[in-house]
Amino acid sequence: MRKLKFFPYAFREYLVLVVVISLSVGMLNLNSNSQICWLQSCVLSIFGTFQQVVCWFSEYSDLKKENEQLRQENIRLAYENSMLKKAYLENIRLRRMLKLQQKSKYKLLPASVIGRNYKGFSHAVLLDIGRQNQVKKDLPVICSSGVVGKLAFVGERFSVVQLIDDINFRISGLVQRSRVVGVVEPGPGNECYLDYVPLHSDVRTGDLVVTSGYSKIFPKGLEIGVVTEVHNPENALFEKIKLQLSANLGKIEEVFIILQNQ
Amino acid sequence: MNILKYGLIFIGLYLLQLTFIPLLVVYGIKPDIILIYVVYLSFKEGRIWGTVSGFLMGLIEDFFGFGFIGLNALTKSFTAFIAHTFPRQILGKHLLQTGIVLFCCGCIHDFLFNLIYSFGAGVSVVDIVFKYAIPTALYTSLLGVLICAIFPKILDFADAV
Repeated sequence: MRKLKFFPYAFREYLVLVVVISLSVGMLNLNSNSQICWLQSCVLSIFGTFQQVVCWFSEYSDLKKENEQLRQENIRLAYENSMLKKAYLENIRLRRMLKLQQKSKYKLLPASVIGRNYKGFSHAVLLDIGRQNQVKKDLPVICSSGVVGKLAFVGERFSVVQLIDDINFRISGLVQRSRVVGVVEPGPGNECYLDYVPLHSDVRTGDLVVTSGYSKIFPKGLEIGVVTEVHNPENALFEKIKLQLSANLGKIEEVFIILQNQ
Repeated sequence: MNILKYGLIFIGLYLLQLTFIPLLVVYGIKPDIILIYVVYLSFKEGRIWGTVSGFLMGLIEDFFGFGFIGLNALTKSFTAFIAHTFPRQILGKHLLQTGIVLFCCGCIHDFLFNLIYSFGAGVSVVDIVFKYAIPTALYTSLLGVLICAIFPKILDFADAV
């Protein structure tokens, strides 16, 4: 009886371990729970504000140099802009003449990257926009060179983007030249692959891969990357196609959220 | 156990992890200073406090690190529990032994973290071990050894639980 009484005491370390692991697993299961999301949103607001301050300090030192560069760039762009306006008006006239439909455009919302989280296979960035900017979960995020990812979590003033090279990210891709469809998924070493493409399909090195449009999230035609390697392994069903992502995810500072198709 | 003292140290280290450690990233690998602290607490304050503090610190990291809530809590508490298995005497003797202990703990932590995070994504165990767990653990242990070399008093466990 005495032995039984002391049983929990002797194994208290294991009991503590079981309790904390149970709590952790419980929380892992409650990740989409509304209370947890609310708590995460509050924490994100605090964290985002802190990251903004950190970001501001790190950027301040480069500000003067950047300002000078931007002035020069501004002059160049002003000239370029006037030329583009001219070309745009000319384009409208020509389109009318040819009765072509105007290519669909997207409503874009610009955002700045204020924090990064790279831990193992988990790749995410923090943006300075949130629900107050009318963004919501799963909206596509792009930059000037291509797809960046999607909004994985949206707080009141800040949002988290799950990057395209996160191990749990999948996107339907299309080889622009041959219209071969596959699924773009990251590999274990920061590289990306176009998977589920049948053997001996018409895919070559240098082919551009864009979004296929077979998704509720990403519209058709957004640039994903360029094919860098194509292998037809024996005893396999699918080709092994390696991609070089168009967006330089390690250096992105400004991104755009696609709000809706206009 | 002085909870306030350890809590303040954790806040300082976490701010360091957010601001300074990202500057040390090499090929996407960065050391985990919080893990070093969790292992230290497990040695200093015993297995129970180590496990509990690992859980709490991991949980805070989860909330601020915009990942899966509970993942860091799980891996850090488990690593703290395992860390205490190593004989305490070896940690204070030589920096190499300290490095080995930190390396083993880092491997366990990063293996578990990446295994759970990439579950169902078709990533092989070999990739998890060789591309993330070992490099990150190696980097973390190097930083830990450096800290111990600069502050040798850290390894004084004479009054440890």
